[in-house]
Amino acid sequence: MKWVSIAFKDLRVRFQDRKELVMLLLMPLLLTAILGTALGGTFGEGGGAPDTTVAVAMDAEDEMIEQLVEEVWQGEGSPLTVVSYPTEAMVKEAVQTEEVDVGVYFPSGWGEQLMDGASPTTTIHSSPEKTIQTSIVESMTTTFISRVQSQSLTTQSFVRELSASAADGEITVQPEAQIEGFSERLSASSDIAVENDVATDSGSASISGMQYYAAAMGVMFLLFNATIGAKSFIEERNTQTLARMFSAPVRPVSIVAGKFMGTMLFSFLQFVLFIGATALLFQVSWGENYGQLAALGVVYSMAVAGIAILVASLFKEEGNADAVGSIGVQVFALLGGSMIPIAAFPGGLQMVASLTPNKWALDSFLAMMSGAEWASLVLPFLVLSLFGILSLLIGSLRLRGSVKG
Amino acid sequence: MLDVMELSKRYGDREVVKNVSFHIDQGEAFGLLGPNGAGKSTTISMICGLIASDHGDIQWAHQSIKRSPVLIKKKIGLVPQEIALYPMMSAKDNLLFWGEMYGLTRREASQRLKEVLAYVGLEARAKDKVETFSGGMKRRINIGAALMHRPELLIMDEPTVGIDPQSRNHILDTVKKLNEEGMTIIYTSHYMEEVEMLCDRVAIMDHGEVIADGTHQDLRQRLVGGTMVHAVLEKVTHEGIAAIEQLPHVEEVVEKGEGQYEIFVQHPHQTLSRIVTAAVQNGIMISSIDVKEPNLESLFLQLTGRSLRD
Repeated sequence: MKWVSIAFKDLRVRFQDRKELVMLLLMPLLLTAILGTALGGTFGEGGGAPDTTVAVAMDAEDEMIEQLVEEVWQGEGSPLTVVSYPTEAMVKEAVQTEEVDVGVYFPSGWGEQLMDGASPTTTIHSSPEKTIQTSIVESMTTTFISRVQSQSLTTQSFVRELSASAADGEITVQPEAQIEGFSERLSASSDIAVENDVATDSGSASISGMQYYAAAMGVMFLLFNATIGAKSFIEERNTQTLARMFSAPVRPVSIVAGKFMGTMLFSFLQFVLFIGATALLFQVSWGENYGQLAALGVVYSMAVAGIAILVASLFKEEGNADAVGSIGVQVFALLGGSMIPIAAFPGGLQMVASLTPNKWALDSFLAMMSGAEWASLVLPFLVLSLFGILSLLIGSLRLRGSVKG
Repeated sequence: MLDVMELSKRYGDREVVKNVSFHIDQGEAFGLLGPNGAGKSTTISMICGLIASDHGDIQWAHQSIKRSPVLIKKKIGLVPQEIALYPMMSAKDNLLFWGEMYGLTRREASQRLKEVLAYVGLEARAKDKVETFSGGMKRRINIGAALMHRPELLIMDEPTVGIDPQSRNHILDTVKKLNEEGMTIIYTSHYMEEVEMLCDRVAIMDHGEVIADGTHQDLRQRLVGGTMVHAVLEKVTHEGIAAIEQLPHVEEVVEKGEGQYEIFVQHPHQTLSRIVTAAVQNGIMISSIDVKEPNLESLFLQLTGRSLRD
């Protein structure tokens, strides 16, 4: 089990490097705090949000729905474009075929119920890839419903109060009592159901800016381990510790396995520490299913460790690996959605993003945060595992010559 | 015990080791002497199984390294020329790690640790990081790492390069002690005094070949002109050097550059006055002149026309 000794030796060496620890553990926390706080609104209020096409279907003409669509969804500065469909089924189909980003269905009597101060049911159809767009539509609709309900309740209450006072022959209104009544009734309002039509087992909870950037920074900084792991391998080659290992009775496969596991273990520990720290410090919710989180940690760490071996096989000097690796991480981070949400990318670039492991990891995080089922995570987990295995295989084959000295 | 048989290695057009053969008995201290680039490290790398030979074989107790590499590697401890340690880890952790690489369990490595630290004289610094050590201390831990698994054959590749005299003496004492305890040692260096002090037999390498080998006695006897006269001369003329070369008992005059000459002679005390006279008669000025006892350096110089440290 010499590979275990090599892996734990690497782990020990990395924990001794304070500069590296600060970069890998504190920097992502700092950036999450800054980006999550500064750009948190992006995910709830539409400001600077991605352009979103919304399919709308309603059972009957409704003045309130028209008001919502024309004045709120398509108001000045809104990122929403609305397309009308005759039936809910067609809305669902449009979402499934990705003709639109989000679909909304209003049942008959929606506006009437709202005017009565009740909570009309609104059904939002979405797909797991459109969590941000869904959040925008949901948030704008909820705000509208709350505003109308409060106005309606106020009017009704004043009318009742006035009627009662007029009957008693004196006109007195008690605003405190009315306000308390509105609050109680409003707290139970806004009955919006989000249905996922592309992967019906995916989650539905909306994601905050802090959650998004915690996940984004987590995957980006974990990716730095690919460069650090590669540098560690090259350093061993240049300082002759690798040659010394080969003069000992250690098989080449044990050395590569040990280096791979060392990077994977460190990445996983970084993953656990980061999730724990963001949950404690910023109250980031990473979803309810810890099993899914652990599985993602394992497959993503595996992908990162595999890339480290591949990078080590491409360079002979640490400096070159460092320079190219750092640029690579930033390009991957940009493409994979760690800096700007992928939803804001044009279609072609979104396809390119699928070539980056961090995109799959980020998607998985967001899905978990929305309460996704295991079935919807199979594909990203499989892709991340393949990234790791293929990179490890190609890297090992390329390293074979140099590893044998 | 160790048989190196007709070993050759080529990198592209350059043949770095040419048909090298030697035999080492168990418990022997064998020196490989030669200047930088002579092929010592490549020969050692092939013995350790780090690189494959193009031709020839290496056998330890009649077992070929080509057929049983793992078995033979377990019996060898290599002290590489570079400090092949992890500077961020403590001396103790480095030694434990290398012990495990040589097949010791954690428990066995921990038990051996104290003995090895005592060998290299660094018990008090066991918990300190290697990066805080002086060059000499690092070299001592570098040796310790090769001793953890009690190797039968210890191969040391220039273990005293660039260190202070105190650490150098400590290392030489350690090697002597290990050899006295029965460990077989291959010691490579371009410091001939180290090889002379430690080794029973010596092979001198140059340009990838063994140009001479044997005991110190054998090698000294090979010197044509048993003694070397070292002279620093000025206003040297071709005729003057020719006159010195023609003197009785003068075997050879080798120019080392910057006015320095090595003159191989028989009967040095009789010949010295004749050399001085011939030089003065030919207008050569003598800045200094002294007689050196014959050694491996003299032999190397005579065989190659170059100094070991050129």
